[in-house]
Amino acid sequence: MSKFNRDPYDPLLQVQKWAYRCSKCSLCKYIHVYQGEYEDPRFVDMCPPGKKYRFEAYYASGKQDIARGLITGQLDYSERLLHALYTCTECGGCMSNCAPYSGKDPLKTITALRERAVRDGEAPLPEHEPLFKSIENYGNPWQAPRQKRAAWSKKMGIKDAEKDSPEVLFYTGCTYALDANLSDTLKLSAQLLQKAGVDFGILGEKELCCGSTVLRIGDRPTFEKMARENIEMLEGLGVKTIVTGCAGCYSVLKEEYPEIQKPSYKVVHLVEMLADLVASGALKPEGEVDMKLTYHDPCHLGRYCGIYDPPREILNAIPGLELVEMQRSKDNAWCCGAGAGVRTAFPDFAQWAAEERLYEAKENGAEALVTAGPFCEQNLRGASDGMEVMNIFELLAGSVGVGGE
Amino acid sequence: MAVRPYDSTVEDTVGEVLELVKGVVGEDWVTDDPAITIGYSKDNSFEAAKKPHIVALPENTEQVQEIVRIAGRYGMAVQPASAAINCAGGCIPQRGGILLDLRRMDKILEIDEENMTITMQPAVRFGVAQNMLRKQGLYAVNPSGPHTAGVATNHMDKGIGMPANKFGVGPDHIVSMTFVMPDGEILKTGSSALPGAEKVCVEGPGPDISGLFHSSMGIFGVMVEMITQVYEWPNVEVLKVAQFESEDLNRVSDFFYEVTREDFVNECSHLQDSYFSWFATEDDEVGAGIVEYIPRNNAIVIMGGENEEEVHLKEEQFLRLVERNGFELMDDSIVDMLSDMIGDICYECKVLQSTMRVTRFFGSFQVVWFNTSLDRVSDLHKKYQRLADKHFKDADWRKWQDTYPPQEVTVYTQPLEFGRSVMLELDFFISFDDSESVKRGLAFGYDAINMVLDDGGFFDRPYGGSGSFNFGTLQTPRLGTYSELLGELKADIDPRNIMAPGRLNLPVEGA
Ligand SMILES: Cc1cc2nc3c(=O)[nH]c(=O)nc-3n(C[C@H](O)[C@H](O)[C@H](O)COP(=O)(O)OP(=O)(O)OC[C@H]3O[C@@H](n4cnc5c(N)ncnc54)[C@H](O)[C@@H]3O)c2cc1C
Ligand code: SF4
Ligand code: SF4
Repeated sequence: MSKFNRDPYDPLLQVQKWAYRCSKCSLCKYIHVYQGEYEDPRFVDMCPPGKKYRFEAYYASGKQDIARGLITGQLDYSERLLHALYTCTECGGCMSNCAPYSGKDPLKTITALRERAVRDGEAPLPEHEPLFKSIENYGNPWQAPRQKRAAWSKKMGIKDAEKDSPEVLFYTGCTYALDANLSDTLKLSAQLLQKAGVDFGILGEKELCCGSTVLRIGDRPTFEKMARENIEMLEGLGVKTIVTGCAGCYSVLKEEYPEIQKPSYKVVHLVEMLADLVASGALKPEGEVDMKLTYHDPCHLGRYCGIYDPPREILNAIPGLELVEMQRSKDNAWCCGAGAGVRTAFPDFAQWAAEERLYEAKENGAEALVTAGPFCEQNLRGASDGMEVMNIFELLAGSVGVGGE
Repeated sequence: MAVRPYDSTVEDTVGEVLELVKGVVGEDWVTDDPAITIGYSKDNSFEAAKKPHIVALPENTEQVQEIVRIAGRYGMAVQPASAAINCAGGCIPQRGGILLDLRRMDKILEIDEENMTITMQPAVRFGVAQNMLRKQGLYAVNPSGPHTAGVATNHMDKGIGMPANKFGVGPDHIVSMTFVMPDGEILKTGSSALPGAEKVCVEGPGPDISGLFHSSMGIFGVMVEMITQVYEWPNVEVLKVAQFESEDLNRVSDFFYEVTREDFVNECSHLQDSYFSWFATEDDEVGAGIVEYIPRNNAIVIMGGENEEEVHLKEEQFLRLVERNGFELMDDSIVDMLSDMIGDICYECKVLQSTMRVTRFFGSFQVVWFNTSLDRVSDLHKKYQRLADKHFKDADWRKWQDTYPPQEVTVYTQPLEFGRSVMLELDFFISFDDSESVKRGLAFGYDAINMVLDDGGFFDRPYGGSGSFNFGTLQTPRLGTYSELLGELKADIDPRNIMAPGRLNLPVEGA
C-alpha cells in the first residue's frame, strides 16, 4: 500500500475538491437528452471505455473514486487500475456532461491521475515507450526521420516561415506530415491556401512536435519542456496567425501554450480559416459531390475548443453534398477511440470504438464519414470494413478544383 | 425471530466465490480488483464508505439466479445496483460481499401502446424510456432527478416528482415485478403471479405482497423485470409559475391546498428562488441573475390537454386561484426567456437534464426529505432553519463552499395525492473534502432527522442501516412492532441474511 499522500505537489491534491464531490449521478456516461435527438437507444453512450468494459472504474465517475483511493492511500496501482486509467481517450464527453460551469470537471481528475501515475513511475505504460523514445530521438511520435516532415511540400513554392516572414504559419503537425497515407492532405490544404491567396509559410524539417500526446499520457514535465522550446521558435517567427489542420495540435497550441506564455499570435484551425475563405468567396466549391455524408467531430476540435460550425459550413457549401447528423454529434459526439495514447497502448480497444462510430454512421444512412483530424481519420479508416472515411480538406479541394494531378 | 447476524467470516471464501461467479458470467464480467471495487464504495451521502469484495455484471436473469445461489451457499452478502444513481447510500454494500451491478440489463422489452404499459429490465433509464415512449405519445411518471435514474428502480424506490400530486409515487405505477429471491427462485407479483394471466393493473391475488419490495433496497431479493403503467403525453402543455416574495410558507401550503385539488393540474411543485435558478441554468452567474429577477417563492404548475382550447380553459381556472390567493404570475417574457435557455420546459420536467439543480453542487448538497402534511411545512422549515443556524452560523463555510452558505436552507415542496400530503425537501451544503464541514454536517443531519421524527415527519425511503447513518438508521428503531415484523419476514425469506445485510437497521438476533 502506498502511504497517505502528503506531497504538496501531488497533482491529485489540485483536483481533490472535485474528486470528492462526485455524486454518482451518471450524467457523464450518456449523451445529453436534447429533444428529438435521442431517438435511438443504441447510440446514447458517451464514454468509450465505459461502454466497452462497463465497470464504474472505466467511467469518469469511477476515476473519482480511484483518485480518492490514491489520495488516502487506500488503493495501490494494479494492472487493472492502469488499464482503466489508460483506456480513457480523454475525449471530454464526461467533462461536457458533468458540471463544467461550476468549475467541476471530472476530466481534470483523470489528467491529474495520469500525471500522478507518471510521477509514481507507473506510466507511461510499456506500450507507450516507443512513442516517447521516438519523440526523444526524432522529435515526433512516429519514429520517422525529421527530413521526412517536409517531403510533401517539395516544388510547391511554399514560403519558409523562418526566412520569408509570412503572415501565417501553417503548422502541419507530426501525423499529417509523417503518415504516408495522410500527407497528401497537407498538399491539398496548402493548395487551397495558395488558391485563396493566403500569405503562409511552413517550418518544414524544423517544425517541432507540439507535445499533445505526451501531455495526454500525463508526462507534464516533458510536455512543458517541449512546449517551451516550441513557443520560443513560434514567437521568433513574428507571424500573426498559426493555422493547423490537426485537432490535437490545435487544442494544445490554443489552450495549453497560453498557460505557459501569452502568445503574440492567433491560433486557428484550418476548418475555421477555410470556412471563412469559402464564406468570403475566396474559395468557390463548385464541383458537385453527390453523396450523403456524416461529419465526425474530433474531440479536441469540438468539445475541447467548441469548433462545431465551421466544418459544417464548409460541407454545406459543397454542391450536391447532403450532410446528415449522427445522434451523437457536436458536444455529444462519440470519440473515435484513438486519442491520449489509447491507440498506441490498446489498439484493439481503439478499433472497437471506431467500429462503433462507423456503425452509427452507417445506421444513420451515410455513404461516407468525413472528419477533420488525422488521428480520427487514421483510426476510423483502419477500422472500416466498407464505409468510406474522408477528410474535409480533400473533399473541399476536390470541389474547389485544386490538386488531383 | 429476528434477522440473523451477518457472518463476516465468509470473507475468507472470496477467492472461491470469485472463481464460481467467473464460471457464470465469464472472466470479463467479474473481479475483486480494488481499482474496480472502490468504484462502488461511496456516493454523495454520509453513508460510510465500504467496498464490495467482488463486483459482478450479470447479463440476464439466469445469471442473477446462479450468482444468488452461489452467494447463498457461502452465506455471502449480495447488494444489487441497477441505474445506481441513488445518492443516499442505497447501493453501498454495507457488509461488502458481491455487488451485483445490473447495468447490462438495460433493455426495454415491450411498450404496449394500447394498454399503456412498459416492460423493462431493471437498469432502463428515464432518458431512454421517456424518449421511446414519447414516440407513442406516452410517458413514464418521473422523479425530479436526472434522466439517468432507473425507471424500475425509481418506481420501486418510491420515486417522487412533479406529477406525483395527480399520478402518485413510484409504486403506484407498478403493475408487476419479477424477483430473484434469496434462494434463487423466481417470484412474480401482481397479475403476473398467475402464469399466463394478462398484465393487468391489479394488486396481487388476495393479500398483496408487492409492498414488501417497495424501498426494500435489495433486502428481499433482486428485481430483474418490471411492468409499469405509463400515461398519455398531453398534446398541448403549458407551464405557469405563481409567485410571492415573503418568507411565509403557510401561503404556499394554502395555495396548494386549493390548486392540488383541481382537476386541471397535471404536474406541480414549489421551489424557492435559488432552487429555481439551479433548475434553469448550469451557470452560477446566470443563476444569481435569475434569483434577482424572481420572487422568493414559486409554485410551478403544468396543465395539459387535447388541444389549445382545453388548456386555455384550465389556465383561466388557474389564474382565478392565483388572483384569489394574492399571488403574482410569472411574466410570460420570463417563461419565454427560460424556454430559450433550456428548451421546452414541460419536456424538461419529464426528462430532466444535466442542468438539473443538484448536479451543480454534487457532493456538497445534502438533502433531508420526508413526508408530512401541507399545514406542517412552514413550522418544520422554521425549526430546520433554526437548527441549521445553530450548526453552521459560526462556520468558516467559504473554505468548503463557493456559492451558498450551509445555513441557506432552501425548500422544495412536492404535493402528493391531491395535496393530502407533501414531500418536503430541505437542503444544506457541505463538502466531503473538508473534514470540518463533514463533522458539522453529520451533527446537523443527526439533529435534523430526529427533529423531523419528533415533529411527526415520516421517511418513506428509510435509507441507511445499522453501522451507518441516514434516515432509516434513526427511524427504524422507533417503528416497534412494524420493524419487528419486518425483521421476522426478512429472517423467513432470507434465513442466511445474504441480501443487502445491514440495511434498514432491522432488529438483529442476539443484539
Ligand atoms: C441529483 C439527484 C436528484 C434526484 N432527485 C430525485 C427526486 O427528486 N425524486 C426522486 O424520486 N428521485 C430523485 N433522484 C433519483 C433517486 O435517487 C433514484 O432514482 C432512486 O434512488 C433509485 O435509484 P436508481 O434508479 O439509480 O437505482 P439504484 O441506485 O440502482 O437503486 C436504488 C435502490 O434500490 C436497490 N436496488 C437497485 N437495483 C435493484 C434490484 N434490481 N433489485 C432490488 N433492489 C435493487 C438498491 O439497493 C438501492 O437501494 C435523484 C437522484 C440524483 C442523483
Ligand atoms: S463525474 Fe460528474 S457527471 Fe459523472 S457521476 Fe460524478 S458528478 Fe455525476
Ligand atoms: S474523457 Fe471520455 S473516455 Fe475518458 S472517462 Fe471521460 S468520457 Fe470516458
